[in-house]
Amino acid sequence: MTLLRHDFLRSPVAVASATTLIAAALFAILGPALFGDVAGKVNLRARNAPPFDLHSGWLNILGADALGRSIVARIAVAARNTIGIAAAAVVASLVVGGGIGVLVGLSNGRMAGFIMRCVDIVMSFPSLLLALVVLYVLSPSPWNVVLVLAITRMPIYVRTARAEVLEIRERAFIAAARVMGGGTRHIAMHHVVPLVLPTLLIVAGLEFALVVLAESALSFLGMGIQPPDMTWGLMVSDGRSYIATAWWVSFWPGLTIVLVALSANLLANWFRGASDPTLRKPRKVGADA
Amino acid sequence: MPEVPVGVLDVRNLRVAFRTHAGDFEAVRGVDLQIGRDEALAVIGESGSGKSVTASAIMGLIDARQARVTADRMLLEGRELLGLSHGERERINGARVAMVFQDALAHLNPVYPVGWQVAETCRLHGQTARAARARALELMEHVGIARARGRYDDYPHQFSGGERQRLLIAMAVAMRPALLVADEPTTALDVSVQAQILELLRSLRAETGMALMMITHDVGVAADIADRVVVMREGEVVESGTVREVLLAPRHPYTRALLSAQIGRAHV
Repeated sequence: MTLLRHDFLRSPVAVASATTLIAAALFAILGPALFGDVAGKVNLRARNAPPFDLHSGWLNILGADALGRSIVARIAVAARNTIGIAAAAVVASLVVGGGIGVLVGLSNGRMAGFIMRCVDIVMSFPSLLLALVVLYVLSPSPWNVVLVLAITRMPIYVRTARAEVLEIRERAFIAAARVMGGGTRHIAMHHVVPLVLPTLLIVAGLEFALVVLAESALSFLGMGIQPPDMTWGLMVSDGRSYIATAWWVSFWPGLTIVLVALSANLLANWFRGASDPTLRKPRKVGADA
Repeated sequence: MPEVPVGVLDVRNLRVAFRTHAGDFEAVRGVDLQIGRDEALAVIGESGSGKSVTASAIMGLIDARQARVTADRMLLEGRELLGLSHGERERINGARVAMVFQDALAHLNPVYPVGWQVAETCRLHGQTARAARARALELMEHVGIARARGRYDDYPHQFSGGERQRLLIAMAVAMRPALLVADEPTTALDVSVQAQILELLRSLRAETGMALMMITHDVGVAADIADRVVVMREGEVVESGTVREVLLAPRHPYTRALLSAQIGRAHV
């Protein structure tokens, strides 16, 4: 762990990405308490106020939306729904999908084949259509959005984990661990999962961006988060009607999505390098026997 | 074949049949092996003669879905190995019988420090993490890793080929097994390192009285370390006896062919 921290501090990209994600997380935690009132305050004199113009107050530094509400404040408040929903969906599909994938890869019996065909069915079904139907039947509450996103994005974790496990379980060090008396559970937890996890975390980093976008698509279609609740995706779609005259209404929340998604990707990529001892910068090279 | 009085390993009529699309293929056909306490047996033969499959069958490494392993008996220290439950097998592997391999780098997990892996054997057999760590350090020094304390947390790729083989041997002998199976442990090493590894195995045997089953295609290695030799070909034992009997006065034509294929056999 100390080694990992050492590598982390030496990588400016990793530090910057982590800082962005921590800032976003802080907004998610504190945003609604700090800016909750301002974000909902309508000011018709500041309708679509342009950014970097301080006449209507510093809160409109990034401009205001069609009802004159501060975009900065709305981004801060929407962080909670956006990040909360995306993070919950990604973690849920990572844990459940990855777990299923590892078990299927290690057992590879008849049951495993059945599970993989079920995964194929979920994968081949148009996920947006599935999400719309499910959210129409249930109500479009945040938890149901998380559930739907988690289920529709799960197959990629199952397939990735299974493919990795099928390769890893034939590697020689698995035989070595067995020869030293390691049982299936020990080998799964200590020799398979640690090698699969970096790959799955990278997938999760990439998926985080996709889930943010999928959530905004659902919100745009009216089946996701409902106003007056807000998410960054919903803010982007709100600004769509004014894109020709007031680009900033869509631009700032869109930029926020890009920054957060990019940070997640870069951090995932850094972790991949850091978790692989052979890619890590050597501290010293061993002497001959 | 002379009866060995106090046997560590007693295998009779071992057969391993792999399931293939064209029907079963018998890779090992009725092999008998006996290894006495404190004895070193070399199993020699060309590639594909069934040496390694025999070792895998003894270690319980053969996947029951891919192959069928049968034997009249397979006794380790008098205990039948065939038909053991997974849990019973795991208590024996590493503790009473252990194995080292040819490609040491592939047999070490690349994402763990080597010390963790040497200690793993001890932890798997009930030692606390602290005791296992102390034992692993002691073992690493004992098998000749220079500055073991400072390199406990280094990774397998930071060690030389000879050192990796030493680490694998440290993992294998951690619980003082009665039998060490060595599957071509020196084949991937250059000649001087090869001699050092054989010397290490010899000194470990002298200390602990551990029996050794050395699988090799190198007659020189067999002559160097073994008391008795078994010659295998196409899954069968064609000749067995003491090193002097087999290597100086081979009876079977295949053994003679194998010996004549070795460079410098005059030194045997």
